[in-house]
Amino acid sequence: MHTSYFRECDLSRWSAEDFDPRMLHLSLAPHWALRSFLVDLREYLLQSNSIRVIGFKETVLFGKLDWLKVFIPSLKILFLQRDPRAIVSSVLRSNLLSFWNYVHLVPPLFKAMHPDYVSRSRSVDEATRAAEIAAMSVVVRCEMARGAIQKFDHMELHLGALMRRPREQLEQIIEFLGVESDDGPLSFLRKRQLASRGGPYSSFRLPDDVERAWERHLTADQIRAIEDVLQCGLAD
Amino acid sequence: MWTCGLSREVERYLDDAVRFSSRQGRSIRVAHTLVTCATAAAVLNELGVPAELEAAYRYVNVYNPACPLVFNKLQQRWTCELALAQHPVWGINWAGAVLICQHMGGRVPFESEWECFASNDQPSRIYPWGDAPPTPVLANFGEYFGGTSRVCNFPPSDLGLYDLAGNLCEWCNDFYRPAGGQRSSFERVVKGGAWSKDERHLKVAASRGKWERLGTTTIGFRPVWDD
Repeated sequence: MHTSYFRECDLSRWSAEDFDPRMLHLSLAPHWALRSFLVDLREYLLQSNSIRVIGFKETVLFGKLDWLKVFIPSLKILFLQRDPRAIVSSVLRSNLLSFWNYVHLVPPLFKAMHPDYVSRSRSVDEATRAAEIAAMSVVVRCEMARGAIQKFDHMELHLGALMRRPREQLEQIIEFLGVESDDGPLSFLRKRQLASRGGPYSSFRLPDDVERAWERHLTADQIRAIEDVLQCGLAD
Repeated sequence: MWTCGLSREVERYLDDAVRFSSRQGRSIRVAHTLVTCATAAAVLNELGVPAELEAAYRYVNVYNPACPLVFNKLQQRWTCELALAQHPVWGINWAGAVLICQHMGGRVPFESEWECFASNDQPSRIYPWGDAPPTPVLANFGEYFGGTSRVCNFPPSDLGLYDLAGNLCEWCNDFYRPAGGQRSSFERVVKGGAWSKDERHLKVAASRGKWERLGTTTIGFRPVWDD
């Protein structure tokens, strides 16, 4: 989102009633530059047409989807999901757990959603606790999305399916977005799956590395901690 | 060229600019490299640009945790890690690029100008080095290096200009016009491809558009000066 603002209030809920036509949200009142940025962003996104769709990738607006629906009513959401173990592995390898402030933001919210959950990781090592917290973050975000996404024109997509059946999945995305078909995205996806190389955020990845790298990077304790959280959360 | 008050870092950069005259007879000087982190920090300090304190940045995307430019609150100065000093600067939005170029007495190029000096005025040339397909020896692209590389690390063009293809894309002055679409009043043209982009972006004729408010990981800039 090109601001630290939403990272700092990640997971706090903004309702549809919280939308203010002038301030956008009361908490944004002192932040005129951010309001101006958001209004410009909305105008920019609305330039989308049948030839070209403009979008943005977002992970910190899950608690604000109801507000977002009022701010940009015509927004479509592509909800991209992935094996939670791969997400946790990716989060841990990015070394940004403290940057995203998960330790303080996530466990209280998870506890509120799942009061019966008992952690088996508190007395274990720091790496296992980090995996547990990252898994809680996945569950909390999925549950927030589940509640609000129905209000949007939306499509749920699984990264594994996109990797294995790119043509079929891209056709569905193109239909959902209402744009003219184009070979560019398919060619992009295929090229990017030919080899694994580059930095931590590189999209040049063999399908096996995307789907199974977590097996090499996570310890048995971390996997157990993640599965505990998932059993409690996503299984509900 | 106005150089009064410029640091030695910036003066050296101006001295190394390459004179280029197109067949139309227009003469400009072109920076031999993309603006480096050290040069960008020096210019921001000369301008007295303060820390980005608002929740939306004016020029430098300090909200990307990997942003190469950092504002040192104790020294009240923009700095960068020594290891990145000679890497091209990224994270600067279009307004920031314009500001820095103007302070050096220059400007960001127009798309047509860029294509002219990137091809050495040979419209049929596919890449800045000629028509041979790209390789990781010629340019930094396609995630072969996983990030930016020092300027002057790859062979220069026959005019002596570095990183015209790869390393970082370059902000241009023009608003972007997508194929089959209308000219955008939000997006500026960027040229040249970048470390993470596919080889098709390295072609002299390839363009893409980027919202001018964003300072991203793949866009830098190269000033030109009117003679």
